[in-house]
Amino acid sequence: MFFNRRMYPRMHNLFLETPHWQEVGRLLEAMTQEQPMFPALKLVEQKDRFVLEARLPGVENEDLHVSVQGKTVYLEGERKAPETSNSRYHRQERGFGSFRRALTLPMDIDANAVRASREDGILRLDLPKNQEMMPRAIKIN
Amino acid sequence: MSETLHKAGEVSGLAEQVSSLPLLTPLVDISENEKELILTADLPGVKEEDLNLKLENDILTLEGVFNPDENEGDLLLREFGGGRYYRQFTLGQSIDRAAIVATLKGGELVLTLPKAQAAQPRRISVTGA
Repeated sequence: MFFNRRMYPRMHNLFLETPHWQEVGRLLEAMTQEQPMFPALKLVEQKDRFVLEARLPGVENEDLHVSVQGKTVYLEGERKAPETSNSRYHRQERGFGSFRRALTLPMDIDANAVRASREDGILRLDLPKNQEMMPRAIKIN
Repeated sequence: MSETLHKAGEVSGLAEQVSSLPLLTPLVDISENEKELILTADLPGVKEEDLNLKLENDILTLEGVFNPDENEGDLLLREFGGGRYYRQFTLGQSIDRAAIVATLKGGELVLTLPKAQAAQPRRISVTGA
């Protein structure tokens, strides 16, 4: 958006001055509302692993890159717009273009043991915890 | 020009059955070329058997259920969940209803709605004297 969030509160005050500007203020408020992140994520922690799911409809496997570095998982790629020469749009709600999301997990994962699968536009990553980071029971003699 | 999905006015309303899943409105693109209209909808998580497309009178209803098995463990982040996608569109007269084709792949539904012959533009040749 054209307005960064720091300058926004001041502008909002200005817009409150007249009823006419209030309308503009409301419009701006709607515009500056944070866009949902793409892809939307879901993270579950299990005893020995994390399961990360990402909602990625219409992204081809070759346009999707997943990488892991330490505690951080990166999802990068591009959602390509369909070929639309000689057609015109009546409605265009879906977004296209490149995306990048990074998610830092609470602990290191075993990057070599990560597995990825995809079904119906949902990516699932199995991220086993690094064994050295796992709690170990200590035997008491 | 496009009496087809022109003004593609959605009809609001809920499906008959009541379910505990949240109602989601799928995002759609609708494009038109000389031969057809193409409606593309994002339905992530919906399997073919959970997708229900219905054409009744002039109302095209799109309904899909995504009801994932929740993974065991502690939920640390949840930006999406299951839901029931639902949306309706009004079709114009010039769509060839018998020739509508739907494909669902990777969470993306593509509906091809061919125009009836009469609605397709025709080139008229002019012969001059």
